[in-house]
Amino acid sequence: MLSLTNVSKRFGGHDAVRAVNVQFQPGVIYGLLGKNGAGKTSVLSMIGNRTLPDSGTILLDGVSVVDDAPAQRRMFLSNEAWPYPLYSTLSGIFSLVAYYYGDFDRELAGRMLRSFGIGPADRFGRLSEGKRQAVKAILALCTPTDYVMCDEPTKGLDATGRETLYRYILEAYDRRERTIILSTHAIAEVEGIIEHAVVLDGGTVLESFDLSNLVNQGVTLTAERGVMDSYLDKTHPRVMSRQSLGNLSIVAVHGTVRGDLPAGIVSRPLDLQSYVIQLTSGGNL
Amino acid sequence: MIGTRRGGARNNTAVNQYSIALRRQIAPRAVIFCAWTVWYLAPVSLTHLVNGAGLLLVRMHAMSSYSPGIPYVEGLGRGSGAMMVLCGFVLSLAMFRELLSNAVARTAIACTHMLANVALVVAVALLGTALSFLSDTFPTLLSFHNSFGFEVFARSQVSVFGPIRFPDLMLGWMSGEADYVAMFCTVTLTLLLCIFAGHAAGELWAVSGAIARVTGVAAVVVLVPTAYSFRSDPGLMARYIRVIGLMRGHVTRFVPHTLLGYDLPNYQTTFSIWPQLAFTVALCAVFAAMSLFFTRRRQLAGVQRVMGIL
Repeated sequence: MLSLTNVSKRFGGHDAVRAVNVQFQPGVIYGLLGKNGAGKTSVLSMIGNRTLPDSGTILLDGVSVVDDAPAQRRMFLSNEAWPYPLYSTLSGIFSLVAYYYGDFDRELAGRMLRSFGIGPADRFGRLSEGKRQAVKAILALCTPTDYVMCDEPTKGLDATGRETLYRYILEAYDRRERTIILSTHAIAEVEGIIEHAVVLDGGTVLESFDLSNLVNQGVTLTAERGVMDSYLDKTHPRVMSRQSLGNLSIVAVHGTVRGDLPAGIVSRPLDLQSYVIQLTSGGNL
Repeated sequence: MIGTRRGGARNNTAVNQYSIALRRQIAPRAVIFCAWTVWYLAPVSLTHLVNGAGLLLVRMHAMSSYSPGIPYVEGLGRGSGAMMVLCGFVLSLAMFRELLSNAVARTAIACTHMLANVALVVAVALLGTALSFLSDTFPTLLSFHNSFGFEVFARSQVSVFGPIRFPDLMLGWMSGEADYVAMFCTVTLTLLLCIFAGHAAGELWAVSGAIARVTGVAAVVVLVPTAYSFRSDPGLMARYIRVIGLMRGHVTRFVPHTLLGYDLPNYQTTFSIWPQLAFTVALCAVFAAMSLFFTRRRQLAGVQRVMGIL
């Protein structure tokens, strides 16, 4: 298990991550969700040893991963950076990654390359933005590590490419069970993939829940303003956001609605994207 | 650890980690060494081609000519010293991202960086010493002249592993006596000092902010030419040479000297190599400690400025 306890990080006087506590269980696909600047990339960078936490501990099965090579060898972080020679062939890069990490799933890598229209003799530096992103994802999914972290894996990919990548993420997981952490803004797209969501905002963890429990995380209530005001005054639910459209009032409520709703109020469960947006908007929608 | 159906992570012991990192660190240095060798030996081949197969005597001035301007680089020549500083600086910036991103710990990166630097320096020093030895032994085949300072060490004005001795005056380094151990030790440690300084500067650069970098570059731009201009000041130069003499453990004695039948009063100077070597080793240790200190605090910027390099 990978666990972060009170992990904090400052960049240039700004708190990028503030006392984050979160656990990543083995064999689960996680979504690390949140707005820009929420701290997703910073958290992954610290887990991946690219940056050092100012305070707190990051443990993998009880061992600190901070600058610990054996622990780091069990994790692979694919992010914006490209740490390999820019103009090496991709097959050469695969060999280099195999040199560092051991067995590399070349069969899957070959199929993924073909799916994205990339050749093994192509050079990373000459690929388009989308294809570069695909190559990074290939490295992450074909490396024999127990924890795979992808920071914005679909950035720059077209719709077809994104669907292809999601299919391969599931196939890679099926071939070898591992923990996959997807940090992404494409929340609606990963809803069918991830099993657990961790929502970050302002450098802290707002929520961490199983997707199977999403239906209990929040609902949208729609009613005429008078009816809604009366209901809210009576029940005092935890309101995440409130919008008005003419005489119509739309309220996002955290958690489930207790008891029967009065006549005139329509309840609808929030999907993941709507829930995360409501959660991180701070009522500013 | 999660059971794996296909493959599995490499068994990563500490030795394995160091071995992996060291091999990756040595690769670019091997390229540098080959390039260096070609750069300095190419004129020999070219001369040979131009003059035909009958040319046996090839005289070559590799590296730079003698200059007392830069302390301790004097032992080999400015060109190689500067090259080593540059190598240490650039390689410390170039290799870090790849190694850290592939599960090599910062301490291992710093240590393997230094070990690879030592390997490069030893290779360069061995080549230089071997060429000098061949030039002395087979002067009709090769006459490879390094800098004057380099030659001084080869021609045994230093006393390395025995009591201080005074060579015949006026014969000096032209006498044909040679102490290649002294030459190798001095060249190795001098170049090591240069490359370790470059490494420490690279690590300092990496952990510094933009303002500190600009300030540092401005300081170098101003101070280096200023210091270089002091070369023309005879008083300062005399003091500088005295300091170098102290570092080298100079021993001077007054002797009458016979030249062309006349007795001329003169001084003979010789020196022990140990003070210089000890001083160089101490400085190397300081730079190594600085490099380790900075590397352990080094982080990768979230946004990569130059893909594949920094």
